[in-house]
Amino acid sequence: MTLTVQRRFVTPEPDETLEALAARALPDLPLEAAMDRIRGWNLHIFAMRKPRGLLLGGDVVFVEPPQS
Amino acid sequence: MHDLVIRNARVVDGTGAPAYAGEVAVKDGRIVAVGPRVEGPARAEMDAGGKAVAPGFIDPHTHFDVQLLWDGAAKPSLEHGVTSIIPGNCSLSLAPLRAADRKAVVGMFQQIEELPPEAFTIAFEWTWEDWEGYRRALEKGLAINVAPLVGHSVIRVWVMGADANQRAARPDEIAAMQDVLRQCLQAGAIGLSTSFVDVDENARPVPSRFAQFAELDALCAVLGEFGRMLQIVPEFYDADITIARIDQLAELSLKHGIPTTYSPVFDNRQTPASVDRILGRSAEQFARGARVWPQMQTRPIDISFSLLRPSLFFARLPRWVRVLRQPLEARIASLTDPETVARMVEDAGPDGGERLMGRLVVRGGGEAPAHLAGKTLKEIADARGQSCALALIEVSLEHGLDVAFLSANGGHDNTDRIGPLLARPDVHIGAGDGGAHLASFATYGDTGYLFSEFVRGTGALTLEQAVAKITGETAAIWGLKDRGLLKPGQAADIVVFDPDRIGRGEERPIFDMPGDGMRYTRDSVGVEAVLVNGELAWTPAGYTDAKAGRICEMAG
Amino acid sequence: MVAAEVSAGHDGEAELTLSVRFENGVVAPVVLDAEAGFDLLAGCSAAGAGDLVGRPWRQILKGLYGVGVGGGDCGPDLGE
Repeated sequence: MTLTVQRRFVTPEPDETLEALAARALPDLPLEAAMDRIRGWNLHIFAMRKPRGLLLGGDVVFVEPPQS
Repeated sequence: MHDLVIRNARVVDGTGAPAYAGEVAVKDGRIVAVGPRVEGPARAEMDAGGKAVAPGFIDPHTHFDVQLLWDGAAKPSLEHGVTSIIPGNCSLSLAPLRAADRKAVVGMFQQIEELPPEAFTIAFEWTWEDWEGYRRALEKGLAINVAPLVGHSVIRVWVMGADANQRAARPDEIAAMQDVLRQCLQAGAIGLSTSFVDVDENARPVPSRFAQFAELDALCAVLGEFGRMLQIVPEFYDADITIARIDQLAELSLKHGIPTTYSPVFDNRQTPASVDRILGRSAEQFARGARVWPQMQTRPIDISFSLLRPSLFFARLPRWVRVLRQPLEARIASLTDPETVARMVEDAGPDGGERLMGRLVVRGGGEAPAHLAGKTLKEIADARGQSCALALIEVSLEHGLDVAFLSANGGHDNTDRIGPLLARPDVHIGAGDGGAHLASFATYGDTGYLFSEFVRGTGALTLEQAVAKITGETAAIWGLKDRGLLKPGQAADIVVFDPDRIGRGEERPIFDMPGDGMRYTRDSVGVEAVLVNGELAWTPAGYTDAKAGRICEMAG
Repeated sequence: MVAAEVSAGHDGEAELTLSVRFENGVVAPVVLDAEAGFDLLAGCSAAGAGDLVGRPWRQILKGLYGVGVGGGDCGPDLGE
């Protein structure tokens, strides 16, 4: 059975920073813009966590906005 | 000669097959005969009075780990007909755990279970570090069967110490975790739990959340050696993240040949598409051969708050928001300022807050005023001759703001919608959290609620379906050996209940935790007898002295 | 921001469910817990949840980052 397409995500590498992850996930965007996009699509990391923005190895980090 | 024969029974055998008038015979803790008529004499007989006689219910998501060490019945679970429980969920278990690491793990337990500190200092003696030792401590005095998971966070602490909630594991540490997990499974743990949500007492993510996917994959390889379950807590508040977790679980299930389960799944009217998307993704993954079981709770979600901490219950009221987000001292000053209060009352609407707040119920327990417990704010406001908004403020001020209000049925409350979801063959009924959230709400009676709301109420499930969902199907999903069915050779875990009455009692506070700690509970309704491994463990007269509970064995 | 509603969280806490129209036109829910919700209201000077509706998502995020990250920083420019 074919799976329906879902929202794309990556998981952080060990000790990966937001800068590095944004550059890896959205290489076609300027770095600041890529970081802003990642923040805006991942409030579970950048709003709901203490400390805010702490990337964890187990995280799902979306690299596109919601698709539905 | 049989030890016991239950006669005049409406046999609901846990397979989903039609109920029938019959009898059940028990010998040496096992069922030896079930049918319309059981032959042979018995040392004792029980007349079921035509009531339902079913396998004991199995609760797959509990946090009774600590309570079991002083209360082997996991009260009040057993009196609701639950004869087997699965603790150790959400990445937390009490073993393996070195003495030096206890403080850190206790903090996590206190955060999730809301147990008082005395629960860890006076209620039991720490006699173990490894799983084998924990099992020995746990087995003493069990009245209920226990199938414990081992927690990923605890395994991480065992191997990595203080680094467990700081960083990714090195390859040698992952290998060590595999060894520890293998030892735990060999010593009686039934699977592994992990969490992507939980935090410790300082709101820092629990250790399991620092693991790379490769670490979880390595641990699942060990689960695969035994064919055992992985339980996770996904970011349940977001459908997209939950779907991503489902896909990860499916990958692990297919690769290692293991069952997986995620909990909780619930339905909120504010996010109406979420539950269908989540269950749809599980169905797609089932169709590929993955075993990814969503656990859905039966009970609705109630919102609980006091003015001690800002609650978003008031998010639509600007003046309330302004006051409540102030530091405590300033908040109290504002709440005692007549002008501010007048504006807050005005803010609550022309009806003085009756529509928004009138049905709030004052909760008992803690510092709450006993004479107000259980009353609606409307009743209290009328008695005081005040608006609901003013009554809420003044009652709170009179008790140092430590008055808890309950807004019932705040979510997962559309029974017409939820019944068919619970009935789906690919939905696992669970996520009850028994033994957790003690000071927030009662996590007991979900089984009774299943029958009262979804069998007798909406009719979404037949009696037989509902019984099968929480007995035979649960045992099969988890691989529990000889549990969940009324058939010869199975353990004699049996519940006798009245299908026309079974339900759950009103939520009420009790002070039975160590150090007179408070928790909310619910009494059973309509349950008439509970047998565990052939021993009568509970009747409406109370708990017996039987301590027949066991650590569950696994099939295969 | 298309809508803001109070919802019930698994742990019995009230939460804030925002309906957000993202840059691709999709409207999707974003759920915030109490701390994030109050920080958001404070950070973008919203009187209450209703006051958020109609505001650009960029301003909402500024509210969060202004409170939570670097204090006073107006946060990302999403280039709307």
